[in-house]
Order: sequence, then C-alpha cells, then structure tokens
Amino acid sequence: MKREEYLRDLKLKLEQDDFAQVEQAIAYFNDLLEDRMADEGMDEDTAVASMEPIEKVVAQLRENPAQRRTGIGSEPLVPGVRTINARADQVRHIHVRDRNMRLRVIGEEREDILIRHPESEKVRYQFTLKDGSLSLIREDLPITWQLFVLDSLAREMREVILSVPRDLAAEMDLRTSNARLTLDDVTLWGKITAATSNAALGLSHVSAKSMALKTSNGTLLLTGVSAQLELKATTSNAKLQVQGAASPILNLKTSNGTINVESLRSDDITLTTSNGSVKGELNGKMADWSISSRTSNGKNSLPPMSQGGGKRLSAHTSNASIQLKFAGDAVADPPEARPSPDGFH
Amino acid sequence: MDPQLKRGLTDACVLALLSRGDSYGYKLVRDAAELMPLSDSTLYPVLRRLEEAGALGVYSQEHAGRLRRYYRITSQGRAQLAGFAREWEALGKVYTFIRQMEKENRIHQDMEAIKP
Repeated sequence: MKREEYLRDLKLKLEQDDFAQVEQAIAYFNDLLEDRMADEGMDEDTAVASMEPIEKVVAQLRENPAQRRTGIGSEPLVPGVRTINARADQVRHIHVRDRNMRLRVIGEEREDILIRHPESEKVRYQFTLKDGSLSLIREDLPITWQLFVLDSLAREMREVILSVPRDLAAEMDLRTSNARLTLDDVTLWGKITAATSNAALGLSHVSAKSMALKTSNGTLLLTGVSAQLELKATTSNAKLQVQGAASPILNLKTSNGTINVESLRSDDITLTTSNGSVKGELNGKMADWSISSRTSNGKNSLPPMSQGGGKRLSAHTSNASIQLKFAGDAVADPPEARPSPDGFH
Repeated sequence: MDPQLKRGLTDACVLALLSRGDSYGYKLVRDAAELMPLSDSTLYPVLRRLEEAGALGVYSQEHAGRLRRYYRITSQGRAQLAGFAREWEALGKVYTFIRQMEKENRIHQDMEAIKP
C-alpha cells in the first residue's frame, strides 16, 4: 500500500468515526511516514508496512474521549502563536492567504524564514512547503462556527509576522483583508504582489523585480521602494503617499484622495485620482517630460499636453489641483499654478 | 495497568524525553522504547493532550525539503514534570510501606506455619 492510500483510508475511517481535527491527525501520521523514510532509509511501501494497521489506530484514538467531536466548540485548543521555520535558500515562492488579520513582513539579519501566526478555535492555518513553495493559508471554517464560536485570541496576537532575510531570492504573494499589510527592509529577487482591503498598505525600504500593490479604503504609503520592471500601486477613497520610489514604470492610482509624491525616479509616471489633489516634486526638468495632465475645478501647474523629452508623465484628477514641481527647475521660479479660464486643462 | 496511572506515566514519559531537547513524533516513539512501549497511535493523543494543557509547544522547521513538526516542553510542562516527580516520591513511600507490610505478613505466616 502506498502512503497516499494509507492516509486516505485513515482519513476516511476517522471521519466516519466522527473524530475531531482529522487534518491534524493525518498531518501527524504523514510526518511519521516521512520520518521513517528519512531516518531509516525505508522506501514508501516498507514505511507504510511498518505503520500500525488503520483499524488499530482508529481503535486507539477512539479510547481517548478528548479526541471525539461532540458538538460545536468541542475541540479544545489553546489559543496562542505558532511558529513555522524554513530554510530561506529552499524557498522560492511565499504565498499567504489570510483575512481580517494584520500581515507584516520584516527583513532581518537571518538566514531562515520564521513565520509566526495565531491559532485558536476560530483562526486556523494550513501551511505547506513543497517544491520551493511555502504556503500559509487561513482555513475556512463552517459558517456555524464563525457565528457561534467566540474568538479567544488576545488582541496582540491578531497578526501574522513573516521574518525573512533582508536579501531573499524569492517572490511573494500576500493577501489579507480588513487589516493592515506592511513590508519593511527587504529586497526580493522576484515579484511582490500584496493586497488587502479597508486598511492601510505600507512598504518601507523594499526592493523587488516588480510590485503590484492594492488596497481599498485605506492609505497606501511607500517609502524608499524600488522595482526593476514596474511598480503599480492602487487604493481608493484614501490618500496615496510616496517618499522615494524608483522604477522604469510607475503607476499610482487612487480615488477621492490626494496623491503626494517626493523623489520619484522613473521614465514613465502615471498619477491618477479624483476629488483629490496631485502634488509633490519629480526629478529632472519639466522639459525632460512629455506631459499629459487634466483636472477640473482646480489649478494645474502642468501644461495639459506637451511634447518634451523622452520621459512620460500623466497626471489626472478632478475637483482638485495638480501641483507638481521639478527638482531640476528649482533654481528658476517654478511655473505658477494657474486657474483654467474655462475650468478645464 | 490502571488507565489513569498509565495516562499519567505516558504524559510524564513524553515530557521527560522533551526535557532533554526538542523532538519530533517518530523520534519520540523510538526514544520512549527505553522507558515504556509507546506506539504511534498512543503517542498522538498524549501530544494533543499535553499541547492543549500548555505543557508543550509545537513548531515546524524545515528538514530535508519539507516541514517537520517539532515539540518543545514549556515552562508549564517542566512544572508538570516536577509535580509528577514529587507525587511519585510520596507514592514511593506508600509503595515501600506496602512491600514492608507484605514482607512482615509473610514472616508472620511462616512463623505460624512452623509453630509446633
């Protein structure tokens, strides 16, 4: 019998026996099988043959009433923080799927990846490490559990923290919702995809091959970030603030909020909002840029359209002003923001 | 063996092994053999029980390209182990007393038997 068959049959029997936390038990017996192969050099068939018969396992577990499912909330679980530790050089992809939970990525002087996540009766995660892909996924509980089981997690436990080496040859795909998502002090060789909702998204001193950042109804704050190919950051109903960003293509978008930029290094910048101003300072001179800009009911320091140098700048808003200066023009008087005679530029 | 007694012994056995250092499921089963027979399916509920009681913690660490689950004794677990040792000291006195009583009874019976 193969390992998959053994575990599948065991799972079926445990489920039929109304056993609590079947997945945890299966993970335990899978560990035992893999350890037999790793520690004793057994092949898969021999390892399975050395395991207890499934009937005996089920009978043994049946003797422990604490393992029996007796109703909603009957699975005893001490709320707390669990840790996962993996060698960074074997991880090429980090995949996190969460919800209603803060998510923090912190670059540190270390060679491993340490993930700390909370766990309680309502908050559970599945993690895997396979073929270089490290995955942490929040489990979906039955809706009845979500309604009736009180969440016993302490406030300070409500976050997932990934401590990673400052220089990491991997890409990240991070998603949560209704909670803040931040990355600090890390250089990734691959792409960063980070998304949350109804909360702030912040990156500080982060580099990657490319970045796709998205939140909604929350501030998006970028400080000292760089992307080799493209940086795209989107939010809505909130401000978008950038203090130092470098990328060949920069695309910053929000709505009903201001865009405030400082020290951008890029040859292709798109700044789009509505009902909020666009302001800040760009590198180079205005003459370096081919500009497309437009606002309504507001002042605009840029020409609506100009064919300048090889760089491209697009700045659009409505019901607010566009006040962008160029560091290279600072010695001269900056173009004065002027009201449009007809209200449009 | 009385189930409660056996349960207490297996808990103490696992905690004692972990007090030597963090370990994982299969190693615990192997190492326990020097103290008492412990099968895979006997160990699982013990680990769950101790974890739920806060006597041990669980973490995962990469090993040979996969995540292996390790168990670590907590300060609460060490206190439980120390409490277990104290209880057994008291039990040891009762045990010694019982053996002494058995010995005296045997002597008494032998003397009765050799009475003329």
